Amino acid sequence: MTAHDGGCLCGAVRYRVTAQPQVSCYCCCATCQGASGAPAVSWIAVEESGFTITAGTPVTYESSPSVARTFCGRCGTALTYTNPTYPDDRFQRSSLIAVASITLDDPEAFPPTEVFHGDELPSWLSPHNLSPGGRHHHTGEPE
Amino acid sequence: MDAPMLEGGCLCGAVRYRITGKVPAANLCHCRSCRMATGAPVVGFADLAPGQFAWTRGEPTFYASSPAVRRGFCPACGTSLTYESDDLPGEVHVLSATLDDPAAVPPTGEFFAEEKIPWVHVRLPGAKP
Repeated sequence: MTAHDGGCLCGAVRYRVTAQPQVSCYCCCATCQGASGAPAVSWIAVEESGFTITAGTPVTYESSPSVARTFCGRCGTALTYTNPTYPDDRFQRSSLIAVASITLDDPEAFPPTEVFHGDELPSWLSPHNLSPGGRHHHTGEPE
Repeated sequence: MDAPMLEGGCLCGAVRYRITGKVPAANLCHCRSCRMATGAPVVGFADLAPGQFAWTRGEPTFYASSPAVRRGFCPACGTSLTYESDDLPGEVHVLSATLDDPAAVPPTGEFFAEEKIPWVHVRLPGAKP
């Protein structure tokens, strides 16, 4: 697949994605909201071997025991999420890293096709409005 | 009667804030800078008047995303918290998903709709289907 480059707002952290996304989704869980400051985050999940930091070093924050979130320490952009115990067989079958797709140089490249934790959206934002026709699942506990 | 009060903060709890008084306006923003500051496709704001906002715990890091703009975020967990601009003196615009009740301030308008990502579909309360 064609490589997709991306990075943070200030440009201190840059990355390259060389693997095809196995998941392209919105996550509306309270923790994604809290980590970003926004109502929903769009993610692509790729094999970790297909993701490389090409400039700078992001800061890592463990939002739960098995969850590592990275962001740029200079400008704050949320960049990646990893959780080997995430209750979705695609995450457990292989080692996936989720990349905040809006930080790609082409932020439109991967429209979300699924919605995770849509029930945690603020009531003024309906998951079905957010992603018409999308698959909705994993509406249990936030990860 | 006491003024209404809202509180919020970052994901890890290191940085906290308080909003005093009625929130005068709330909007979504679709601009690239807001998207990139958060890592999210669309951002909600509580748009405050001067004097309504106070930090109550910890110190955010500020990043100047353009010469007149400073954006506050938590240095420990990265949560984007505030937007301030020299063009809007004294105003603090708070990322409403960081409120303890993120649903507390429903947006009624949208900024920079021309920069909206085509696959972002939002329908605000009261909008026609």
